[in-house]
Amino acid sequence: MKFKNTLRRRIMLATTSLSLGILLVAGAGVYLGVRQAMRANLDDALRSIASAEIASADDEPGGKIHVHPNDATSLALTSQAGYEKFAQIENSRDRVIARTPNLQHGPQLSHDAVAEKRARQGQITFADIHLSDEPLRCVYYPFRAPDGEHLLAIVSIPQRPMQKALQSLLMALSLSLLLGGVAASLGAGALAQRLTQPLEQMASAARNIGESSLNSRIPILVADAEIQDVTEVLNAMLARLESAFAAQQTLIISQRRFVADASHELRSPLSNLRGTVEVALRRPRTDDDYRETLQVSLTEIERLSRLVAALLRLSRADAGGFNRPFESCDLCEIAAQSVTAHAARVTENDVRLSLDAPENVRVLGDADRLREVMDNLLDNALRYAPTSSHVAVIILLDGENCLLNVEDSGPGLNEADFERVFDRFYRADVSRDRKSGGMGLGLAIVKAIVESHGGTVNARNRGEGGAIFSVRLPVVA
Amino acid sequence: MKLLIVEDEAPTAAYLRRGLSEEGFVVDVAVDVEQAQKSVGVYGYDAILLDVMLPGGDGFSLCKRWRDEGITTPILFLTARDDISDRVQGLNWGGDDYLVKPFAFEELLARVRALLRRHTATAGTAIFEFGDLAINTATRRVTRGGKVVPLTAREYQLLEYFAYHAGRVVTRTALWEHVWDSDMEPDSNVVDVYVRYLRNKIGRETIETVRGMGYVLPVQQDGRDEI
Repeated sequence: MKFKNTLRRRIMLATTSLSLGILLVAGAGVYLGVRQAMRANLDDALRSIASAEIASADDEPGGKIHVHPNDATSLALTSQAGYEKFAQIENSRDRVIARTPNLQHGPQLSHDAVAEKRARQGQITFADIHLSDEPLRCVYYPFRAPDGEHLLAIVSIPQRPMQKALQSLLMALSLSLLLGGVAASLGAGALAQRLTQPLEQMASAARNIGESSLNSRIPILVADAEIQDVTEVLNAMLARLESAFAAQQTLIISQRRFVADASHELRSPLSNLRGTVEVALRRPRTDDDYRETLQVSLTEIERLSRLVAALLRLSRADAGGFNRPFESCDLCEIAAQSVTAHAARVTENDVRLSLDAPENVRVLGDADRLREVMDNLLDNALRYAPTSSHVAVIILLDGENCLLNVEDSGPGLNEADFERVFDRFYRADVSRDRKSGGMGLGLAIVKAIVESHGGTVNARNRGEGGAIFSVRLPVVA
Repeated sequence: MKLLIVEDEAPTAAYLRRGLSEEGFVVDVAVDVEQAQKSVGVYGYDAILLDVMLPGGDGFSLCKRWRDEGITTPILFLTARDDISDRVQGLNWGGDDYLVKPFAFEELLARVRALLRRHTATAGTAIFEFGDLAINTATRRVTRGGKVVPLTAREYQLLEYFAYHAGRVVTRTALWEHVWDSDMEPDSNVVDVYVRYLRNKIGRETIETVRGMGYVLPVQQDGRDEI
């Protein structure tokens, strides 16, 4: 079975081993402390037994301890403090001169040479010795007999009861360690679950969010600030994604519509070309017939060329790809040039064309593109201008912006067209526009160029009739 | 056979009119919705070629209006709009066929002929046969007993109209409306004169006179005299 390196597993393992480690250290501390205390207790008991017995033995010369030079006498210990005690007294020549009855026969106490040596130098010393197999704790207790002889009392108690007590303590500690471990791992599991569950829920909520459901959000499931923070950050990211995606969708839709419109517009002249040529080729014709066919074809080819050129200009304005870097240019001068260039067309229709501008309004941009804006606006105005009417170009300063208005006294616009008039291929009146050579792209190009210059466009009607097309551009400080 | 072309683009209307006239159709052109409605109200057409984007309305709505008014003339949409939704709408709103620009002129011809055949409930092919008289509407060749009968454009149009309405009485007015241009002064004598020319070429008994009503081209052409 392969385990995934999950956070839940890590939390569980870390928490469990940490609790087990703490329990283990605490258990060991308890055990060692108790053992130490019990030994100290035992040693104190041994010392007091030894001093008490020997003191009592000292009560009178030869008191209870009868020291016989040849034969070790029986030693009777008065205190009966629970344990069986083994005691003997040795003289300075290591001869046992007295011993308790339980040592009269059978096995003898073992010796701890180092401890005994130290005791002989006058220091009370404790040691672990044996009586046959049984471990004993003993004290080497030096004292002076009434006759001044240096004697050594060896008093010992079995260690087994203490060991038993320690063993059951160890058992109890192990058991509690085991139970504690189980409890710790269960608790750690629950804790890990508790910690990771919101994450999993968030993950599953996030998993269900696709491009069609970018408007849904990850629910805030717990009160923990950290998880809430993560959820909020994720939701904020989702919101940004949603709006970016929506913007992208809008762009894609408008581009798709543009491509469809463009192909439709390209199709009409192509279709006419094809039909005209096909019909002409169906039978022999006179030279005049052929000439007429070619003339019609040429007109359609010119229309196609204009359309392609306009589409190119539009896509260039869209991409913001201008040949030159923006520089400060005089909008009034550009407008004046455009007005002059349109003067010829104006005389045909007897339209009065005027320019009303302050001196030197500087904007940051590409002069050629701004000229195109101006030309397209004038083309549009002149297309709709009735004979003997007035088209006015007015430039105004308005704070940090300048306003370029082109006003005509034509039929004006329907209110519904105020926005749509800048749409690509939009024509307020299909047939009239077509006849006048309009492709429905001029104002769209205006909008694209102006927007790439950080400006805005709008269209509205004049109170006294006619339309105003307005361009707002930031001026150079 | 008389067609109405509803098309606002002059170059398109021009080549359609020229090509279809040369193929033996009588062609009227309407440049907007208003004119189209007027023409359909006044004259009888055998088929209508309808552009979708028109000044003063769109072709789909116009087609629907005509169908609602009970006009069953076959309608062929001619448009640069090739979205499936557009085609479906065109057909659902009463169009009989849909051709996307740019198209081959040959295809337009074939479709118009197929539309006329379907609508006049005649044979499924482009060739009509009445006894030993055969009319190929695709090549406009007329043969009698295997021999080619040379016909003028008008005579052919007349015969073709009879063929499409074989077995049914065709009035002089119908002939006038469907074979002659709309801008000519009505003159029923002209019809009789052309029917006589036609009879002289394809056999006097091929087209029968129905007294007080008009003419009929019987489907069964047996027991006829040879010329």
